[in-house]
Amino acid sequence: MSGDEIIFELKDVNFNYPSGERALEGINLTINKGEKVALLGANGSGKSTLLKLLNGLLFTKEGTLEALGQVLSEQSLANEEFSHAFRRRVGFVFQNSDAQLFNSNVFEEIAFGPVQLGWPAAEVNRVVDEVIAMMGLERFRQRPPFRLSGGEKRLVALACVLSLNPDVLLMDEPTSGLDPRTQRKLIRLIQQLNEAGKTIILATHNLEIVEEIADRALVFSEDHRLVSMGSCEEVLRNVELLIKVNLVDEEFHLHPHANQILIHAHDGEKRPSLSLKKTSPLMP
Amino acid sequence: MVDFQIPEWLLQSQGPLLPPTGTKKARRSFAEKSIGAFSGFIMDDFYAERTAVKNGLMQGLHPGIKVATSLLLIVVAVSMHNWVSLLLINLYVLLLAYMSKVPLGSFLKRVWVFIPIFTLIIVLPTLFNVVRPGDPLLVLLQYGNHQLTITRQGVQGAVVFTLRVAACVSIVVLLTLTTRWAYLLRGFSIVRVPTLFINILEMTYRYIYVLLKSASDMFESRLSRTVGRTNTKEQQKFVGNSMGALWTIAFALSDEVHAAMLSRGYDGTPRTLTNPRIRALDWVWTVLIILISIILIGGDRLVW
Repeated sequence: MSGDEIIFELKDVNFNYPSGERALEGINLTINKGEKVALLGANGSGKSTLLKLLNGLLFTKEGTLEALGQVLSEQSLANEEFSHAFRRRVGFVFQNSDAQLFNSNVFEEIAFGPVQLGWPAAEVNRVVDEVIAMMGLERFRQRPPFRLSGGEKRLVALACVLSLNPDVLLMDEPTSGLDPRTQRKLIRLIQQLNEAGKTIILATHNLEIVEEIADRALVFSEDHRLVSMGSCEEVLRNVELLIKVNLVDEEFHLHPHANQILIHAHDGEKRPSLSLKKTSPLMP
Repeated sequence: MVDFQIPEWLLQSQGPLLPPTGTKKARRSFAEKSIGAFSGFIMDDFYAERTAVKNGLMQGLHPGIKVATSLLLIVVAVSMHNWVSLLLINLYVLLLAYMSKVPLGSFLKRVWVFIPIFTLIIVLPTLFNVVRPGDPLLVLLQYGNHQLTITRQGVQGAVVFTLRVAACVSIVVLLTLTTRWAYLLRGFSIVRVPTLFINILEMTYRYIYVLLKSASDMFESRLSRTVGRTNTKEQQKFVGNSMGALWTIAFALSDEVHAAMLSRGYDGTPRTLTNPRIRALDWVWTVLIILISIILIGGDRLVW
């Protein structure tokens, strides 16, 4: 699905928190249009920070970051026209849905983005209605977001971003805490959006679903470096690397079979086996 | 895999759960009740904007006009000196609340629960002749030629002050109850309230909910770990400690909420789905408020 058009290009990007603590170290990365990319890494490895950099919520002082062919900086986003154009094209689904949902009902929540970008009311109503119908959220339309379950909140949070029709979708741990059915629904939606040409970049440490939601995997080490990138199959086979970056422990093994990869434990009956079905083609 | 060294007691069972005996009831603690009532109010009343979406008189007005006329009424209330005119303006606001379908019980509670507490502390010293000399109304202490009395002027001043504060608070409560938050901010913006101030209000509103949720979660998790009764002192200690913990959580969350707003195109300008338009009713309302203001001020200075 990947084309030649570059969506994000990072050169020697470092990022420190205001406390001086390192969050990202020497990141060089190119993401092309239409790619599905998974950011893999243990907690605190810098995945969420990278997503926030890509969304222009944090800014690097060292290195350069270009988004959609333009330099992404505090100065460029201070320009209203550019800021609106960028926000419209790059959507971000936060890990903490509660922080993202703050309107009095689901309809207004989904309308928030389009309203902020100054769309006409009729257009906002049409778009929000269609997103609500697509996501099957009709019965929650007038409900306050805080009355929803965790899974429902996640779907509404995604709907809020989709109402802007972004070309690039950034998602932080999109499937964490979801029940199997909601997870399946979300995975299918991500796949369909990608098939429609949207670029998907998501952070996860759920290896079980990586192959389904990504073509390419980027692995971050606990010292905040990008230590490996390649097709999901290559990365998942590299158990040594996965152990080193604390994504699996020594007792987990990968067993590639004809149509699936099995990750499971070898220490008796204590651990369940995880089965990964391959539903999308692997990148060469 | 290294096995854990589980202590013996952790391997023991608690035994079967027996049916309840005796009549001793489990009481809800004050902390539990307070946080429950507060979050219930914020979530259901404040966020649901129940009164603001009703089809009442003030709900139909343009937010800018509503903010401007409310400010005018506040100026009128502040400049009045007579208790009769102040009582009239209070009754007038109450009438407006009724016509705007605001539940009068909760409206009065909101206005009159806090006012006596705060104004009484402020006006209490002025009741006595030692602070504000005047005609004695009630002699409290007599010692030779010296006496401590409550004065007529002191009581009058206290009544006027309380009614004035009540009028101002009523006007603001009515404005906030009958206007949806986003439109209220638009109203502020129209009457040229500085953007920075509006941004702070906007953030505070978005954020109270997230903070309250953290507080509820914290109390719930404590409840699930509470065995037996805790006394009030322990509860107060817990509330104190929670405030400290919440402050830290709050700080991290404020960043997250702000980032989520920025990410969806928020740039500090309050925007709403529909653009409110000034209609004939708004002009009628404005003229009416100006007339009432003139009558009240005139009455205050010349008649009563």
